[in-house]
Amino acid sequence: MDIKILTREPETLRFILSDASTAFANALRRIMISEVPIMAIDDVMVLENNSVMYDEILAHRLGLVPVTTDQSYNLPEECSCKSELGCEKCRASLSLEIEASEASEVVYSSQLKPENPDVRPVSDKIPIVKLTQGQRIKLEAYARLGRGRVHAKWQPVSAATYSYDPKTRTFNFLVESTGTLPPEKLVLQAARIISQKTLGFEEGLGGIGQN
Amino acid sequence: MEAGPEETQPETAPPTLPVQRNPGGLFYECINCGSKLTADQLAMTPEIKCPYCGYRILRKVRPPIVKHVKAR
Repeated sequence: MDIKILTREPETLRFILSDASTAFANALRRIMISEVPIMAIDDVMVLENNSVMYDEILAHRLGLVPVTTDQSYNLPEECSCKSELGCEKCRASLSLEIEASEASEVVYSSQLKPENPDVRPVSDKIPIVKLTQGQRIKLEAYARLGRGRVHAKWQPVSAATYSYDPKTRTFNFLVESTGTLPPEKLVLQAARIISQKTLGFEEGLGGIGQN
Repeated sequence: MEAGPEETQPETAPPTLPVQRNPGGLFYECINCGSKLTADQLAMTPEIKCPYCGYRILRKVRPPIVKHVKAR
């Protein structure tokens, strides 16, 4: 298999894959979309909210804010703590405390304060909620690792596609990250996951088919 | 959801309603004068009524409980 990188921008990667099967190229694409674990807010502890936005809607919006991923965290299901809300090894917290001092104040993603600077919103400009004077929100949000196939907020890409040229038998890939992970890391992780799955299958066979 | 600056005593001036922070977990608030009441205090009169200004519309204050919401 041969990989030639065409363009590399901060969040977008284009490369050409040759000497590979469609099955492999497609597996890579699908894994990038649904199985590469990334960080996203999953639990929100609301202490105060007298805004017009219900707690649940606010929490849903927070879940959808892209957050940078620190791969040293454990996946919740794999963490030794086995606790619902997690421990410091499987969650990163971000806090939000804001009171509007005048009419029509917008709360932006920049106001989410991360506990770990490596797990922070990708963009500062995402509007979360609009408040008027006297409205207060105080909450603590926990980001956890998760997979796109469980919830779209854990989808690391806004685009992962390829086109096939039958003459040269090459796959022209486009990978656009949401900013949570650099695209190169994403592709590498996807390849590793394919490998892990294959090994898992072999283990599952339990020795059938040997010699 | 009231708008308005925080004041320590209720005043008679609309349109801002006084907001008192953490009165110690009382349950209801008069819409008119902003005084806080518990469920027992309301039960004192046969019809529910603010004991200070007689207004019959009250709102339930958000309980000081931490609410856990899944971001899904």
